[in-house]
Amino acid sequence: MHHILIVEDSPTMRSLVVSALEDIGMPVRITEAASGFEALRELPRGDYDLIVTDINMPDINGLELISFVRRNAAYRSIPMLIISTEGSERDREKGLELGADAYLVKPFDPAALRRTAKELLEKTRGE
Amino acid sequence: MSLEAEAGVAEPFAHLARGAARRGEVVTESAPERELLVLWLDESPYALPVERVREIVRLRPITPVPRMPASVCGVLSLRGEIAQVIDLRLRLGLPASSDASPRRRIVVLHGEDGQLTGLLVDRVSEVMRLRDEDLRPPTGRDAGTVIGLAPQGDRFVSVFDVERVLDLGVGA
Amino acid sequence: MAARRTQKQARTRATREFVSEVEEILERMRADLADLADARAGGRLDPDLANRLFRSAHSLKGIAGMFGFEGVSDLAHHMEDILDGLRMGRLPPGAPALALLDEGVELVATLLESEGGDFAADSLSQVRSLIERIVASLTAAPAPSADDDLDGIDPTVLRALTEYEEHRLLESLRSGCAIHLVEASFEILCFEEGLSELTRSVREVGEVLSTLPAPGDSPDSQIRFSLLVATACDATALHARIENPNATVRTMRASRGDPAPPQSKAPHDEASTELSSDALFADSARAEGGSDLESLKSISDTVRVDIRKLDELMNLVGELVIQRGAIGALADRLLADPMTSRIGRELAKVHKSLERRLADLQAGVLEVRMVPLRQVFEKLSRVVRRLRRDLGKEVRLDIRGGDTELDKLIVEQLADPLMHVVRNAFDHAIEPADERVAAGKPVEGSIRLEALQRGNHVVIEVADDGRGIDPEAVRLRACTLGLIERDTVLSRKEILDLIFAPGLSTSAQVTETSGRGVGMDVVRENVTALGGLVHVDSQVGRGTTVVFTLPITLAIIRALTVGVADQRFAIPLTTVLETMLVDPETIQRSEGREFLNLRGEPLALRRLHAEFGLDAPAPGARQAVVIVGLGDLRLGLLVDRLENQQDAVIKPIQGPVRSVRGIAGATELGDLGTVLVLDIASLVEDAAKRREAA
Repeated sequence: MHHILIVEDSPTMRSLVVSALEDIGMPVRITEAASGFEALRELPRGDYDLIVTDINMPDINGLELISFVRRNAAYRSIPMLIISTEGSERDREKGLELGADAYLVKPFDPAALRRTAKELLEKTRGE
Repeated sequence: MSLEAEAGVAEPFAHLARGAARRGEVVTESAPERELLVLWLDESPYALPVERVREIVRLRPITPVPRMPASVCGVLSLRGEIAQVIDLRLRLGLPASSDASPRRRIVVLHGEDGQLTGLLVDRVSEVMRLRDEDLRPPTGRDAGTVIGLAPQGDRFVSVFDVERVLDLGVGA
Repeated sequence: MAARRTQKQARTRATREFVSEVEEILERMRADLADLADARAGGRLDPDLANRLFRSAHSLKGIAGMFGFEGVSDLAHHMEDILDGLRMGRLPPGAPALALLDEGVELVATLLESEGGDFAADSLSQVRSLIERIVASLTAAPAPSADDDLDGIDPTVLRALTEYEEHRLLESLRSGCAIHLVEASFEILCFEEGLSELTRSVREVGEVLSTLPAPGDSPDSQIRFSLLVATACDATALHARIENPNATVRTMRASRGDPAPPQSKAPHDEASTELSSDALFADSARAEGGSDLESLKSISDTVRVDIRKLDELMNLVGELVIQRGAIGALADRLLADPMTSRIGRELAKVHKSLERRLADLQAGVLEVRMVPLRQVFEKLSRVVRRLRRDLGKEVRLDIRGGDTELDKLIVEQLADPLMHVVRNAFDHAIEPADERVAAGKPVEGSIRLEALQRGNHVVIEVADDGRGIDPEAVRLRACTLGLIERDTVLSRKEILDLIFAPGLSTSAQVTETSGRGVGMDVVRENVTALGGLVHVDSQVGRGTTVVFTLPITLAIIRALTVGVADQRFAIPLTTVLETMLVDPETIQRSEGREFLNLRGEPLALRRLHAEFGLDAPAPGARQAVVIVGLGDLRLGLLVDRLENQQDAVIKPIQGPVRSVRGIAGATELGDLGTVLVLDIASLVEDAAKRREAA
């Protein structure tokens, strides 16, 4: 069973991401965080196989979250997928530089999300 | 009448419905078959998707409501919520039952919009599994309420199109 | 199958969340735009405000795109461009930009409300033309200024800055602020409280540019935060401000000479430089960060609760109320039997005290559901402010009684009808300035919005001092439309009431309603659905007053149960004026309609059994009359039996049939089972209509 953490402040966007990932075709467990702070609190509680995060959030932004995860020995190897809105190209590039593995642009295609998430999940299993 | 008394009947279905409705953390495994609840009307079997069933309760006093369509026999209180009850026999144009059989049940459905509706049926028998490709086209003209026939042993079970059953042609 | 279903459920959940989130976003944008306009009047642009607006537009764009509302998404995208320009300092915060944004928000609202996102061609062309204007305004904007160097700033922090945060950093450097890195560790399970305390104290003297989390010394249990801070204070002064003894302050860049606060270009700043820098910053923090302090404070002592959770609590309380009834009945039975009367007395005592506590619990839960009308009133006041600006019409909105509280659900449902009535007053009732002067009225028109509690009801009045409604004109129009016969005799009040009739309410020339879709008939329909009433009074040349009467809550009521044939109905006690028994021979008739002589006044009667198609009582049987009233209307309901009074939780009736006229819902009354609750407002109104139609 794969455990996925979704970090997104928009409830609508969050439930769309959840509904897309529930259909991924492999057993998954999904935990939702409505803000960067919630994600920080959630991380030590679960053994995550994938983190899907937005960039533009009110408390800490997605870049700060990526930076945190990549500098933390316990989470360093969790794949991270950015989903951000078009128009934030520079922020997205920074995210990849900070160590995110992939990104998708909102509005995203659920199938593309599933495909990317699957690849990232399979990568973890391979290691 | 206490709900606990019906635990024997209601529990398995309630469990299925609740399992599916759980939010937050959702566990998903692919399931190639659909599960249908089999119910009986006038000695014929019918079925509807189990995930639409919230619970199954014994027949109990139903409060009639004036100015409702004839197939709505009244309303029922379910743990603080009030739901309309449709007499499924009348809905399908079958003769009304004068039978006070202890096997009569009210199958409580939850709609996509969260609305509860009760269906009064003669009895409920089991949950069957159906693969989509096994569904056969309907033969009757049950006002379009049946979407297909599901084979079970040597007989066919009529599978309801729940939305059509609930569409009484009044107020959207 | 299971997978498909859960996806569907999630999609349904997403749709529900989409609607409420968009509403929330639009509401927040309206409030922020109004604040931005006010702040601009003071010569300052609050960067936090612009950034929050940017994020709102950004979220709107994203979710509208996911739901395929391309027009909305596209429009939000262009609004985002404006806001990006504002927050990055590329665009001056002038009136044109703000007006475009205002327009954008309203256009999105109309698109989503009126057509559910399914755009007609002319809406799309509206969107396109607004977008073109936005694009034109943006190309006129100056290019961003050159980069400054960022030497000395911690590279780890720099790497995680978003484009906007980087811009704020550069702005702060340009204005000569010092840049410090404030670091502190917290327990991971409860870091938020300590961190918000730290952030709050830093904000008193400067701006928090970024908040970067890092693993703490023991990464399993601790988390470390680095706050990038721009301020005029030096490290020592900043450290003194911070009450956290474990926090460290590292200076990345010292302040340069006499710093001006980052966003102050206001003329009065020259004068302020004479003040000590601390006082200056404390002042600017109040001006710009005030709302932040406020919101931090409100986080600490309020919680947001889903109204559905309150409904669940209400259900539970309702069930307890029923159980209490059962205990009471049990006590009565025990008391009646001499063998058990002693234990019965004890149970009755317990029952009594349970009753009191339960009443407190009920009141407590009800109180949580109550919200002040202020929220709606403020929304109306923003609309009027915008209309005043857009149309250049001088109208003052006086608001009184904003503290009056109503059930949250009622307040929500009330927003639209109130908005409609206020807009009518603004658009049509208040005359143009020259006409007002000619009539000897003050140039500035006035709309008074007043709420007050009266017993179990709240009365809201919307009164204008405009041209008023001419009853004769309404009458003529109603005749033309065939709503009344030419020779029908109607009182002035009855004629005015005709403006709520469907056909007439949309005719602008007579009823002064705007005819923008929702007419006064819809206003009445919405209010009636809440168990309320709406009436109008008007004097030609003096003005019009629209009066709403609403129940305080829809949740728990005291109800009178009555019997008709073999059925039982509940009537909300708030609507019952009195009850009496009548002999059939005292019932009089006029034009085939029954009435009663009630202390010298005729009282119209309706037989409930006839109304609902139930069996008639035996001829000559004594009947009971329940006299109900709402507002000024009275009606006598003839029933077979009066039973008793009970607490009732009115629930909507769920199922395929959406509504039955005359039935407000149902309630569960212990032994009595499920009992239908009468919708007195609609019964009273039907009776009034029948009288009009006569």
